[in-house]
Amino acid sequence: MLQKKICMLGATAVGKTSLVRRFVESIYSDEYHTSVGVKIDRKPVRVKEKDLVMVLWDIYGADEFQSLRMDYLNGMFGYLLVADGTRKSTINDALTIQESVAKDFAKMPFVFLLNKADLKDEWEAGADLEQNLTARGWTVMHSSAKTGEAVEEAFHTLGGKMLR
Amino acid sequence: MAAKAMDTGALIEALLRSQGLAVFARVGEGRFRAIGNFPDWLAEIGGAQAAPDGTLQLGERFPFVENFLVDAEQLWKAESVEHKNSGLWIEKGADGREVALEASALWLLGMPILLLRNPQETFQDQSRWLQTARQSRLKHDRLGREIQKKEILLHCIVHDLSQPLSAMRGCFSCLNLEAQPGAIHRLIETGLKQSRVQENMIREILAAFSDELGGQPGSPQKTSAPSDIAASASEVVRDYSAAFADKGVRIELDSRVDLSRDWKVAGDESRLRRIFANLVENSLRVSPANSTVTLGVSDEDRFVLAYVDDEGPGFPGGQAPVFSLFGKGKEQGGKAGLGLYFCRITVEGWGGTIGCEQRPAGGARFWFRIPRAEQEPKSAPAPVKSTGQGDANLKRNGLSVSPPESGGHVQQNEARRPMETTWRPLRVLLAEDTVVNQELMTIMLEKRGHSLVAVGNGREVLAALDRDHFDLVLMDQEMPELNGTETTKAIREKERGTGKHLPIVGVTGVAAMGGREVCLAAGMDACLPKPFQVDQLYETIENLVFDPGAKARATGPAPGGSAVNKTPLNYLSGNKKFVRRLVGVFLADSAKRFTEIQRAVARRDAQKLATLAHALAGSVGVFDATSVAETARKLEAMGRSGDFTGTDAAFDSFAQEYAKLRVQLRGMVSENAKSVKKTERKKPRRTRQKKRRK
Repeated sequence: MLQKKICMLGATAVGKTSLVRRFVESIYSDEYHTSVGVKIDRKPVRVKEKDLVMVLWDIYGADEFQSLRMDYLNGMFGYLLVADGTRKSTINDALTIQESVAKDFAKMPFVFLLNKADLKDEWEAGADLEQNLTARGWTVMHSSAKTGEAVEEAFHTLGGKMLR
Repeated sequence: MAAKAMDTGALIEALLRSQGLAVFARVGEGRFRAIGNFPDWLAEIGGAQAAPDGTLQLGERFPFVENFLVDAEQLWKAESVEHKNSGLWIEKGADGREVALEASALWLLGMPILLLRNPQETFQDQSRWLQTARQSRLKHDRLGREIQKKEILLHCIVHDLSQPLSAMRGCFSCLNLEAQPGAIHRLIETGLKQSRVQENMIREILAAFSDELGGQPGSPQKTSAPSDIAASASEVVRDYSAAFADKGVRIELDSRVDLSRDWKVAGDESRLRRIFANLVENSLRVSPANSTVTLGVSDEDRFVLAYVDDEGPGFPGGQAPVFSLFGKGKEQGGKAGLGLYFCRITVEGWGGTIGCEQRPAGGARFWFRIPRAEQEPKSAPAPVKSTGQGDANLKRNGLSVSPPESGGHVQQNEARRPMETTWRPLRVLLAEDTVVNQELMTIMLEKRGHSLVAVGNGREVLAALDRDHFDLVLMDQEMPELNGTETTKAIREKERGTGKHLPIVGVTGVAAMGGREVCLAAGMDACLPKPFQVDQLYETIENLVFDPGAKARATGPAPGGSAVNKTPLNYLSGNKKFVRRLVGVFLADSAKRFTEIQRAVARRDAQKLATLAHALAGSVGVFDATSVAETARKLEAMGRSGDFTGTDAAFDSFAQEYAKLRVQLRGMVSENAKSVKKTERKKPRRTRQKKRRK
């Protein structure tokens, strides 16, 4: 079956692992467990009338303690760029990551997820940022690993882009 | 020898096993042959199935290894003596336990070797400390956001409490202007007293919050170690470069900033960065593509000026953003101006100022100015009793009868000459261009036993100092010809090399808007915000001349009685003669100024309008006439900006308020006069009665 590698990228504690767990296992935990290293999961999906196995690389969030290894991205077909809507700094981090990735992987399909949509009252992400990114052709979605909002949709949207 | 070789092989086998290493030799593209037995962990994660020829497809078994083999193949092809590590990846054990693995590629004895190992202990240690470190950072960030919210909430509460209280005090003060029958006068005095009690209660609440928040807004805050403001600016530039690039806008640090210099300021790094971040985000919103936003810092004597310059539209129509809560208004997006409001309360809390202006070359400059870290006085004179942190807040939030922006605490430069230890009457030179304020100051200082010579501008100050000796100068900031700053600089220049130092106290209505810093930077020893309380005046000048303990050691209290917590008018209200004298001077002087203001409005003479309106606003402060002061300050602002839109309407409002005040004051003077006449008529009668009895 067709296998496609997808990387989860974003700052620490934005919810990358939770999104994968929600998508693959349909479970969610409120407890924060930081990721060390890379976890790989598989999820068979059907996108655009095609069966596909998404090989999900959940890569630890880069910060002052761990930097992102670009060689982990080799062989990917797309990525989910994740930011925490309640922490503006993670949006800046996401933009920085996207900029670095685009240098080595130009035109690589990706979806930008503003995660933690269940906490929208506390969001620091402004509408102007989203409009600006959308105007640049980005696909921006609001997701919540907690409620499951837009999680399936985000992976399927990315799958569709990869099969384009 | 053969037996020995067998032993070595077994030893190596045992060694690899004890280290948990799985060793593979590469036999073809992606194919490997195991050397020795598999370690236990490999069985735990499901083992690895060998092909019929005994080789293993490790890339297929472990997708992570497949990815790593791309780099490993390069190393083997180069037959490099170096080795390459994959970094950690996690596999799931049979019981769901996470098993950390790491691959290494190396060229050994002419063979390409792949090692797989399970650094479980290292992984667990690393997980533990990363979990702790990242959780702590998240908590720290969350706490920072909570503090920001609390600070804003606290300001809202204080503002809401202050406004009605301010109005009440104003009403009581106005009522007190009228000659009231004794019982009503006592009730008004009670009202004033209770409002002061409430002020104190709010002050205590603020102090409690101050401890909670680690420094209350609007007061000098407890800061952590001094921070390098240039480094903060530089970091914000780095943090935001991607966001800016995304919008096609450049962000850079001003090339003139020398990062190797000492830019330490009295503010903590986290808040400094938040202030820069707020200002930068503000600029990004308005910056067109291909423009540049420049952050920078520059030296300003005891302060550092930080700025964020953009090339956006600036402030069309002079509509600069307000650094207040909900200053952005509802029609705009974003967070109702909370960011700018936070900037203001934080900067002011550090004893700084903040503002924005149109840049001559186009675009806007947002700036803030905060004291250098090393400039904090190490042995400042004893603080004036009534001007603690609470006072500063209360005044800033409108609890005094002054306009809200006037509040600030008395701030003193370090003492520069030996202090006297015995209280004595002082000879004070007053520089003040408003006649009514001259009169008021004369009365107050005379009541205290001091003497005063009043002059109207800076040139007259210099002339008076040449002619005569004074113990201290009270210097109004805004005066015609030579203002307070220029005059002070001239005095200090003359003193240079003489060893003399004349104490100078700046008196300014814009203490909280940078006036205080301007005073101190010019060489004044202290700054008194207008309007001040009587005890503030006495203590400020006396503390500068005398050792603060001198009064206690003197034979008795200084003449004039208690002046604690009294506005000048309250202080004098018991003395009808003084009040009448003051009102008389005001009515005559303000009438002239009113006519001149009217003329300046008609002629659209911006400079004159600003000066005259400023003076009139300052003189009505004596009577707590906030409406007149506010309308006059609107005219002053129009004069300063040179924008006469709506000036006629503003003048009409001012004229109405001024007329009302005149009626009130005239009524008071006539009541006062009748009362005095009655008293005078009664006196001889009593004398006659006494004579008759005799």
